[in-house]
Amino acid sequence: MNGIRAGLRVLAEQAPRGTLPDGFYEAARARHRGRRAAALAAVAVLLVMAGAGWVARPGRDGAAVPSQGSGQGIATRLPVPPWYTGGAGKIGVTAAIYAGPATTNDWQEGRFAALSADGDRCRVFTDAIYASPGFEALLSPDGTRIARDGAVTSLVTGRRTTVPGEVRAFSPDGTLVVFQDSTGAGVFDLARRTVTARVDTGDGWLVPGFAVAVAPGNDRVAFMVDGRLTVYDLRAARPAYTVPLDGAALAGAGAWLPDGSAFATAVRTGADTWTVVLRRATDGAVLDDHRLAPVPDARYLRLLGWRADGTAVAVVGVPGARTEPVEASWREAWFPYRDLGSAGAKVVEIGPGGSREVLRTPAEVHELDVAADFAVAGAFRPPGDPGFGATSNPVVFLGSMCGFVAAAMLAAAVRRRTARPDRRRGA
Amino acid sequence: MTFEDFVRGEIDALTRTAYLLTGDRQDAEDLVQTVLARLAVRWLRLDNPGAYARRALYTQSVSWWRRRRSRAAETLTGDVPERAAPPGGEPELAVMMRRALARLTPKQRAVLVLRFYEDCTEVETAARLGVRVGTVKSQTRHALERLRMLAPELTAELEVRS
Repeated sequence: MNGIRAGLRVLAEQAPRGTLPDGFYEAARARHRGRRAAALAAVAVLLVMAGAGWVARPGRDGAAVPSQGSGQGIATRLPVPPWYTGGAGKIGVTAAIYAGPATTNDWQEGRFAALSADGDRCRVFTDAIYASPGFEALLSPDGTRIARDGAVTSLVTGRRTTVPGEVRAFSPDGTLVVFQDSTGAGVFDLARRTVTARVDTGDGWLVPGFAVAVAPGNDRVAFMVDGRLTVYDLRAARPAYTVPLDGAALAGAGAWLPDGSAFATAVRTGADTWTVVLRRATDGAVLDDHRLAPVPDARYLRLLGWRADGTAVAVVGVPGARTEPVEASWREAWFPYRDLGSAGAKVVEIGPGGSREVLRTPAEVHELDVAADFAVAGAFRPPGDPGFGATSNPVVFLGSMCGFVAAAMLAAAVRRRTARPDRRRGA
Repeated sequence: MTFEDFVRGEIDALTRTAYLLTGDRQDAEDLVQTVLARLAVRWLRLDNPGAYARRALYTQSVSWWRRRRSRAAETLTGDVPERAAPPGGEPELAVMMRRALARLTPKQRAVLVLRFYEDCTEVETAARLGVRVGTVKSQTRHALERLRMLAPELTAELEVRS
């Protein structure tokens, strides 16, 4: 090894004398400060670009929100939102919200879809905690607002109104909501942002989706607690009467007839078969001469409203292939819609002669709510080519930004690598 | 000690080591300046600037080699450069040594320089390169084997001299 040692020492003797330019120390530190400032500036520019890009991204929510008018309706086929679907935010007037395993995943258990009333804009709400469309997430009758998680949010302006409880139903005109909190139920005026009535429901549970219906005119509320139905007079601020339901259930927020003379209950008349039965508004007595045809193939029935010819429009649960017939426990069920084993949902028109299906959820979409005004008006339309607003998806946006930054860094690295030898050798 | 004092005392030694690591006078000067620029930035925070400078010299030489691998190592020209022989004795041995080192990987070159030029122990070499002692042993063995295989004329010359 002495040979190697000697060889290295001989070679080292040929090294040039080390020299440094004058002011090297200050120049090196100044250059470092400049580079650090440039890096900070680059980061700031990137952040500003990212922020500006996010604000001005194409297809931004609300940018294409149309006014409510003709041409709007509920598409008869609901698209399943892919992973890159953008956030609903200000999607505009909405025809339907829907959810199920097709809309959720392991990372987004609270994800559900919304489809606009026109333009087939499909977007998603990505809540941390799942709110079932039609039960805990409710679409206002005109499709302009959504109630969930203790608040009502405009789908047009994005304005959020906090409600002092969980919303159980919109009034038919959409100006009121009925909520439940730990002390009972209440009526909240959305325009005035105030509680206008308090209703004592005891310890009873207002089953989401079914148990509350505000009468047209906003003067009465029917609610179902512990198998009994109470009609509460909002003007007199006291219950008008309470009647037992004998196994029946209030038929949802659209239970009241448009003239307020009666309300509907849903009676299970067979395995997976429900029949709408009307009751007189003044005393809750059953009106035998106003029976509609039984609705088969239904795990539950939730009325959206009534047409002038007496046809009812409802959302019903589609039974799963292997679900056993079960009795609904309206009194205790926390999630009756899941306990009932529905594997999908459909919108049906129910007349005296039978029922007709107008819309069915796609596979793996179990829960559905639609804008009642469109459904009652028969405003169903053929589906168009859906748009998913990928640019408003944060993952897609961030991925694009990262790709842009990586490309810029790569270009800079290549430029530096190719330019450096010339500069160095030329120095 | 000021930065200028440190440079005055160490720059020639650093340049010699850099020359062994790069095999090129200009690259050696550039390498030393790069290392000293990094040192200047950290000067007020360092307890042992000498150790930092030497460690940076080795890590930077490896890093430079990675960056420059794709570049042409030589510029072809039709003119023979008129250049005086470099100072220092025994030019034939120096040329052979430089060619032999050029055939090693930068890590092998660094291990040889540390072990046989700077007379570091295996432990010191490992600490300076930030690797394990076993790596130093294996790199040394591979470097020597490679020298014997790729530059037998150098081995013979060195055996004669030793």
